[in-house]
Amino acid sequence: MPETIAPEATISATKEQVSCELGGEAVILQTGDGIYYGLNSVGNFVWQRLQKAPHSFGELVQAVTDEFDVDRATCAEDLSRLFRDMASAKLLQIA
Amino acid sequence: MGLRIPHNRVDELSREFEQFHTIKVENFVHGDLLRKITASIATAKFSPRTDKGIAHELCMEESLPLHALWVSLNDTALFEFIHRVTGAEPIRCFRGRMYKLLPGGEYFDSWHDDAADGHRMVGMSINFSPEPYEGGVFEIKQLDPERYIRAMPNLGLGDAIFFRIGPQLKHRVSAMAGNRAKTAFAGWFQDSPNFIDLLRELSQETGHN
Repeated sequence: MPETIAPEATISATKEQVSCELGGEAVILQTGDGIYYGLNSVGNFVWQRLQKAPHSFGELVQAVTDEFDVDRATCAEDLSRLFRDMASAKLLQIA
Repeated sequence: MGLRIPHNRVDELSREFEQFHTIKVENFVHGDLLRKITASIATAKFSPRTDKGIAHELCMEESLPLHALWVSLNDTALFEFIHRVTGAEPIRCFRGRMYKLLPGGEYFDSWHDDAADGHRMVGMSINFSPEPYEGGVFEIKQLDPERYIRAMPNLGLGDAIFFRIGPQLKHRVSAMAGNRAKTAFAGWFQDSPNFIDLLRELSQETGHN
């Protein structure tokens, strides 16, 4: 099982993307390579926060567990996996 | 996002739209998005496109800045604004293309309604001409009884005009004059398909991700 991201790590959206929100989901275009990505409602919930400002990983886990029926450990694992994938795609940065 | 949506002017704009079936939003596209698009236009390839005798224009090839604009235009916040101003619903996607009209008579856009497919509800044209052009003015008229409604010049870079689509309304772009081209991104807010299905459909056609 991959290690979860540290709660104090800062997650921020890169400038190499443009996105839209539709029907509770998000479509993101990576403007460096032209690849489109989709996020479901939970991913979109987090992404809309990152569009406004960087957040700590702990804040995002808290926001998701407050909004959705998921326990903290599962949420941290799922978000860690999602954010690492998005960082690989240069959609966000983990610092 | 690179779009300036005047949510604070909804009441004023909806009254104008009700009366004239058209409105203009100045500086609609701005900032980095505007700069990237104008830069891509300067080097892009345009190819002739004919629409069943209605129009003959030059159409821009696909580019990343165009896709970025397209994504920005398919957002709930903009759809909600268009709905509140025009009454159109449900808006599920925006489809458009970047076109160019050159002076000299070869390229034209004649009176038409855009209503044939039944899915287009509101049209939009964003000016991306690097310099002011002559002629090429958007005009709209009503049918039965025929009544000229309005001419809507649109010369500001990044300014957008929005217009109602319907079987009782026709619009055109008047003949170009002078010696400069008009470049605009134009298309329609539609009730079908939804944007995500449209992307899937296009990716299957092109083989893109």
